[in-house]
Amino acid sequence: MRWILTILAAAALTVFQIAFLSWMPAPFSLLSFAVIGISISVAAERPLEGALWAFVAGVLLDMHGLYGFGTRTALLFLVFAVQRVLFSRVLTNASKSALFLLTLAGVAAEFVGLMAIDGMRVVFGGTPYLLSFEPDIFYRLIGSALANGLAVVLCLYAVNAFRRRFESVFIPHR
Amino acid sequence: MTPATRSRLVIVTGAAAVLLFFLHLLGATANAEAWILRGLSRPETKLSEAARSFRDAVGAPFKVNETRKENEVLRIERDRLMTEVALLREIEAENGELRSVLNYVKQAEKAPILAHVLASSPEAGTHTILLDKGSDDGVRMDVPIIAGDGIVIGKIFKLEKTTSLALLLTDSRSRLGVSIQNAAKTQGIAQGKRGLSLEMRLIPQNEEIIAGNLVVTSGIEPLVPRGLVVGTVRDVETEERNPFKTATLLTPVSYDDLTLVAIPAP
Repeated sequence: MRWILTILAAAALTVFQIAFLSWMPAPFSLLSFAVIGISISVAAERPLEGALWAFVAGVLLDMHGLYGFGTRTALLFLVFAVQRVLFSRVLTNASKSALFLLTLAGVAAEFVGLMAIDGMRVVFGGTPYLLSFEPDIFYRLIGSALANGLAVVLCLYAVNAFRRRFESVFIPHR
Repeated sequence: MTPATRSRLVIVTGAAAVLLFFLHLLGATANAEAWILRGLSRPETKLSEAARSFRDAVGAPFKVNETRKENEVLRIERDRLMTEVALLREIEAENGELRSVLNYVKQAEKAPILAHVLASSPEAGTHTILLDKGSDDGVRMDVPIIAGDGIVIGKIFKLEKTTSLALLLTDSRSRLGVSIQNAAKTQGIAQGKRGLSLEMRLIPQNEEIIAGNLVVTSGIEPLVPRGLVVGTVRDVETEERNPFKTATLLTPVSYDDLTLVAIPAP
């Protein structure tokens, strides 16, 4: 049941990101629900949900994106893998700061992956979509990492507050 | 769910992604992708519209300064365009005037002298214009001044070597022999009225005149040719005991907007 909800949530939020948030000014346009979803799943030790996030969001992003089909899916699986390794080997707990760092690493991994693909396009005579020597690109990376990291932390705060307030209402016999 | 099962499912998900990629390369998923995109197109359009409206509504207060600057730029542009429009209208009017004068010049036997209006009479109640042509250019005293397509507007009143002063028909001191183009060819004198209007006087009471009759020069004056248009009759004033009646004339050109006039050559 949970994985169906994950698929639906990933699909709905990715469509919302593509159709709504992309029109908003920064930092809202920099939010990536896929990275956020994968981060939370990895930190909650639910790898299947993380993989589903990468799969569903990646396919939808690929269907709407500039890059070839499979690119964003592959990158989101890369994010998932990096975060899994980081969470199991480097970070020692699932605190908010750990989750924040996990998200930063995820955004950085996705960014590096995109730059690498752009670089390959240039090597093979194509035109890059994002890659440039302007400092703006790094500001964008930093902005995106901070926006997504803070969004994850805010999300956790909201979920915890919701639980504290409504747990007794919805689960009275616990 | 055991960790091993979870790992297997993760691998299955990854494998599904790889399989989908290859199916896409083979074109096997084209219909499914098209179906999904078609299904998503409507909610995405709605979301995009909502996003733009929301962004515009929320962003409006932050754009006040930008709007103000843009408004200022547009205001300057508007002022510049207004000046340009005024200038173009001026040129258009001048062009029309030049065309009509040119018509007269073409019709005249001898090429008339063209003179620019330098100034208008500064004294209230008088109606004169200063022209940039004088006796050195062949201008003589009492010759008529022509505006437009052969319309008499006055006579040379004062002559200098390089300039001349023309007394317009509406000036109180102005007198011009005219006739009405009616059956009787009624003759009279066109006389100005305080620089404001033009009247035809000394019209015998028994003459039949109606509004709209054309008034032309009678040719009674040696330097003023016959048949030049002066104006039309606007209304006729008849007084008992007075052997003559008076007609108020309507001039076809505005005497205040003159820039170029023609003076018949000697």
